[in-house]
Amino acid sequence: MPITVMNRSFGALEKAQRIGLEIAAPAADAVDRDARFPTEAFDALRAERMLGILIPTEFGGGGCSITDVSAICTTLGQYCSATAMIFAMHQIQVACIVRHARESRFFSSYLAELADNQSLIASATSEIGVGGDVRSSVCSIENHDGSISLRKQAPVISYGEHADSILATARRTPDSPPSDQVLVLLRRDELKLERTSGWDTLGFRGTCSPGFVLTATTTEDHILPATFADISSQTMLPVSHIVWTSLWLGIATAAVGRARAYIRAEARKNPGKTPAASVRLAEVVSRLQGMRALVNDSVRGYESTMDDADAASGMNFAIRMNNLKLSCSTMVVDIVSQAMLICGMSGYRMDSKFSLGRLLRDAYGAALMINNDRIYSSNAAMLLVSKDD
Amino acid sequence: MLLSSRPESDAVRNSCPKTSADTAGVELDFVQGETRMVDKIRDTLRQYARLNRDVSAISEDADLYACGLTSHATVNLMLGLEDAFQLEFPERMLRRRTFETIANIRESITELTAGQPTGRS
Repeated sequence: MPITVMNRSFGALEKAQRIGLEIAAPAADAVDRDARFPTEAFDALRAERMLGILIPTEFGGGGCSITDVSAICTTLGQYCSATAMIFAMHQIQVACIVRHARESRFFSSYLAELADNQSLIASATSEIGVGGDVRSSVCSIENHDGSISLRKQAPVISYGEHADSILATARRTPDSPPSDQVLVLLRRDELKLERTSGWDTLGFRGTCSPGFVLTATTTEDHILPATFADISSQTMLPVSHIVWTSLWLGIATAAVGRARAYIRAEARKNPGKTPAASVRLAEVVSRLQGMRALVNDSVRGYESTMDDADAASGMNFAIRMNNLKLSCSTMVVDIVSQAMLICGMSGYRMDSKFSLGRLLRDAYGAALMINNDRIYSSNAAMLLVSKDD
Repeated sequence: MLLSSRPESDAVRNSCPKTSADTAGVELDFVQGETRMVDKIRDTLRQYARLNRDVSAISEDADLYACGLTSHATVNLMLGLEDAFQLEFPERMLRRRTFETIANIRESITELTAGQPTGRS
């Protein structure tokens, strides 16, 4: 099990481990089958104050680091991918507020409220009409003497109907170009969601991510003071890639765990004879180690760069964080597929304790959430001018 | 450090339509060199930056990102500037801030061409 060094985590990893094993895992198949929100896991995470772990202690939060959050995502990912993904996405939103808005009067009180209420924040960054480019918006903020309104056609808002607030991107003004964006916090009582599609997908079914038309009216102090360009490059993008790959590492770890258990059971049946697939197990364990090393190295890279705004908006850093996502999204499918070969029909069956179907379906989502082709194109463009490796 | 150093939205909106900075009172050769450089930067912007307004009407301090410069166009702008001024931007300059305003671009190019004539004319 990947245990990362914990600093100020007040036993958060142990709590995540318990919640994962005792609460999320028993519900994971039902969450997946019914494509329903993992309510029991989030009740437990709230009860243990896990939704506020990234909030600094001065606001009443847990004061954890991204390293801690990464380890927790990996732990939860071993038990229920949907729980881990929703937890991860919430922490991305918290990180954006903590790192880019904590000095504003509204957001400092919001952070305290968040730590106290254990509110869940969703994200509405994608939009119909921008072709999947989150750095481009069609909708805009309309400001009427400090009261602002927004109408956005979002193709997906993960757990939108279960969230207490939504962070949405929009053009700064109706006259702004598509790339001049801001991030605005909309509370449940300030917004209306009209569902425009369902969420019947291959994997990550419990994230409940249908499309919506979002309309909201709030006040201008709900706009994060930093531009979205800075928030995106310095925090949203690197943190997203770190927490996502961390939970994919959890999925891969769970798959290898099943393969390992299967081989052991086989070995016990025929003592003295090494099972044929044990060589495959040795191979997949080495790949898992490579994936874990990449995640941990990238987390360290982020932690050592995040306070240097210049370096954190640089191309090298962006390429490095993109590569983390590109590599791990492929590795997770590869590792779960290898585990399937090891477990054979027992892995293929839906009703066996070695079943890998759900893990494989979830793993295929990794390359699609921010499509790898888009990220490769972006890296290819940056490599035209970037000089360092 | 955590907060953006970019100007407020009103400042951005107001500064975009202004014309070139007033350069009176500075030594003549220097002024001419600077003006030539800024003209060349504007030509490159016109060619590659795909801004949503007339490049001649953008002040040197206006936020180019607020004028529609995207990350993708920034790469083309860099390549265009590298070709126009026969230089290479080192990795430390591959930052959003370097290309945020015409003035920032001018400063970076001045630094890179220090001791040399300012590019080909």
